[in-house]
Amino acid sequence: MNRELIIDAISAIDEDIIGDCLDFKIKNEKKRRSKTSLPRIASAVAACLALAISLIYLLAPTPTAPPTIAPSPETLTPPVSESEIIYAKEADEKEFILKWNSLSVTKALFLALDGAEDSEYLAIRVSGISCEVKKEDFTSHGYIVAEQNGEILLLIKKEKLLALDTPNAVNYAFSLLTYAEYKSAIGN
Amino acid sequence: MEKNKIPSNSTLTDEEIIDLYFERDERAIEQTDAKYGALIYKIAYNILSDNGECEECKNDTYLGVWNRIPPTRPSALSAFISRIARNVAIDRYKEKSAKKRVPSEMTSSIDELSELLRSSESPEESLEAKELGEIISDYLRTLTRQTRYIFISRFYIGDSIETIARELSISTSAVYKSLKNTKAGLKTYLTKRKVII
Repeated sequence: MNRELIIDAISAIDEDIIGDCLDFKIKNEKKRRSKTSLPRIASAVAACLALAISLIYLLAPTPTAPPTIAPSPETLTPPVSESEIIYAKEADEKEFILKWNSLSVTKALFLALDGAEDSEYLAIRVSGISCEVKKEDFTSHGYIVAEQNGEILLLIKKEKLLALDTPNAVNYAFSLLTYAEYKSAIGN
Repeated sequence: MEKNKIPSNSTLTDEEIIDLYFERDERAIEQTDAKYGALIYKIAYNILSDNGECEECKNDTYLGVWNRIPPTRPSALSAFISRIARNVAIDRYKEKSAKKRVPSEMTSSIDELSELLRSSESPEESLEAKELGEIISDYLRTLTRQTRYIFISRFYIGDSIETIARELSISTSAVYKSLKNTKAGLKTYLTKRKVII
């Protein structure tokens, strides 16, 4: 009996048997991940907090501002009404990273763009991944309504976001904001 | 945000994903990727041991599923997808190994079976893979669920012994023992069915 025949015969095992095993495998994998990821996340968060606290004590003799985006005097007051802005829901997956040089678009962006009209604005927080956010990448595409700590809060139309072709964009992380996050970010 | 929206934190059932394929809705691919992307990658990696090729395998698998549904309405979507992924990866593997033998977890698992059956003569030279697959399926149905799981993980998915042991929270020696018994049982079964002498 040759190898080819065995390989093909294994491929031809009935689907109900394979399906049963795969479903078990997928459930098992999910269970395992949820068990292992929680302690990892907790320890990562703890490490970040410890680092952040030590940095605050080291660098800031006076109380520091909360790490949210606050309105800046230089930022524009955009002629955009509340009803024109699309917010993320709490349950949505809000983080996404644009990958201009590949065809892959993450789920959150896909959903946001799928649900929004071309003329509606998305409330987005932009932060740098490997570089600082350059405001000039966005000023001609949308409204920067707040900025702080190298992050900007941007109102941008779906059609503009899709047309955003700045080469720097690949280095930015984008996050859709909920209504509460947006209000808090602009100081209301 | 509500229009045609699939909540991002929910996983659709297989039936709902199949319905998306029938509606020619491209979110079917997205949902398939969310639910089965890791599995497809794993199957491809166990055969090819090459990250770059695995990504291409994933894309080829999605294309294959898209082209087959409709008209096919699979009864077990996971099995249907995994079969396409496996075939895509095996085709690539054959292409590669025509030039050079490529070591992978799948190579060694198939070698295990070949070793077992090599000394046996096949009375029916024209035995079809499909027919042999059905006979192996009949045999697998006589096993317990865990034993079947170990066999499929090793020979269909190409998982390592360590991976299977970890997944089932049992020792590697227990996996070895189970595989040894299953292979011996398979040989007896094939002999009884006159597939091998």
